[in-house]
Amino acid sequence: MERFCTGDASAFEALFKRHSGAVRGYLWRLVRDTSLADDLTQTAFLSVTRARGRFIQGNRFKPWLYAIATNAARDVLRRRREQPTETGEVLTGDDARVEASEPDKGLEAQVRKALLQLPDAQREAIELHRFGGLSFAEIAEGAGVTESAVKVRAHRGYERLRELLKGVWQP
Amino acid sequence: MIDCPHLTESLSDPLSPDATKHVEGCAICRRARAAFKRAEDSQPPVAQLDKISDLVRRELEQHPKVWPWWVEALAVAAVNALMAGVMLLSMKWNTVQHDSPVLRWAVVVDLVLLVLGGAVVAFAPGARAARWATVALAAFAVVGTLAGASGLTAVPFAKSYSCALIELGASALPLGVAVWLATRMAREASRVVSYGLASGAAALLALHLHCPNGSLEHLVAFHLVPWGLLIGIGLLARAAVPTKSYAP
Repeated sequence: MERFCTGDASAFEALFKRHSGAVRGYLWRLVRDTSLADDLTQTAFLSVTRARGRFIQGNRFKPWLYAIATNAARDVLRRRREQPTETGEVLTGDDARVEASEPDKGLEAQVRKALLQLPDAQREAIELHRFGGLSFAEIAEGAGVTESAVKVRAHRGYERLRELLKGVWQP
Repeated sequence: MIDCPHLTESLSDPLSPDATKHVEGCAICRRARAAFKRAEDSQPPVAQLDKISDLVRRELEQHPKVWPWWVEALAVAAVNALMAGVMLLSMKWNTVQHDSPVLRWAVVVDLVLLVLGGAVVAFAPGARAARWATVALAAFAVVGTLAGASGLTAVPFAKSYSCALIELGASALPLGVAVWLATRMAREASRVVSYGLASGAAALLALHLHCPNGSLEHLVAFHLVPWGLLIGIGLLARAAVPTKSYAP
């Protein structure tokens, strides 16, 4: 990262190669829209490039990158004010809830839909921890909050998931 | 039904020893956990990451050097200080507003700290606690201004609104510069509050030492309320301009 901060393109290549796939996967899980996830991946890495002067030397790069990706996704989702689905179609929260209780869908799909219905902060904590492979401490470092705050968000997210899955019938 | 009182713990990761034991014996939790794992393993369709890489590389070639964050912070602090300096020198000195010299100077020091420090912490990476400290400084300025007010009125209340116009007008440039530079980092309310307070503090500092009106209603309505209004304007302005970088 130090070399990248001085404009070294090869250092960027290495960082991009190491993290781009995982970041895109994380963003895709957040927005469930392939082209939007690609746009956000581009935005995240452009942000890294433009704001590398804001990176504190000695800090870890991965939490910083994921914080940027999260901020970008949050901004887009905030503007949309609705929850996108896997196919890119936009569902309102209520529509999504109705679908989540339909009995003919697989439990895995219900879990995904339930994840989409979580408040942003709770979903980000779970996605970053479970799917992004970041520790709670790393998530906290990127988000600028305490580790215990992130743990509380994740716990509340799991509680909400439990409530959302309550209505799902699985024979 | 997918319902178990231990489902919250069963979905968490890593599992506690108790939760592990429970999951082993609970079909519902095992099923839910497996579904969660499958959802976790699902992958997006393959992307054209090369295109993104090329685009970012071009950006890097066009801008091989980048300013450290403190350059932007100092630029905002300098604009604030410049505005405060111009106003202090261009207005007539007047201390009729104050009853207590101690509080007068305490508020001056407080506002100078806000003018400079507020801008710096607003732009510093992290520094969330320091940003909230600017709110504490602002609270002290409000209390100090009101507690030290003389109550003397040089101009009738209805005709003393010019202070609000001066404050809002003089803060427009510092606030505009701060909002523009803040597009290079993620939008965060606490940052807007910090640089909004800092921008307003520059004009407030000048009014504090030059306004001949010490009545509480004047100070509240035409000194302090506009300061709060500036934060609202800052939040709206920042929300309206597109973000160039989402760095924290």
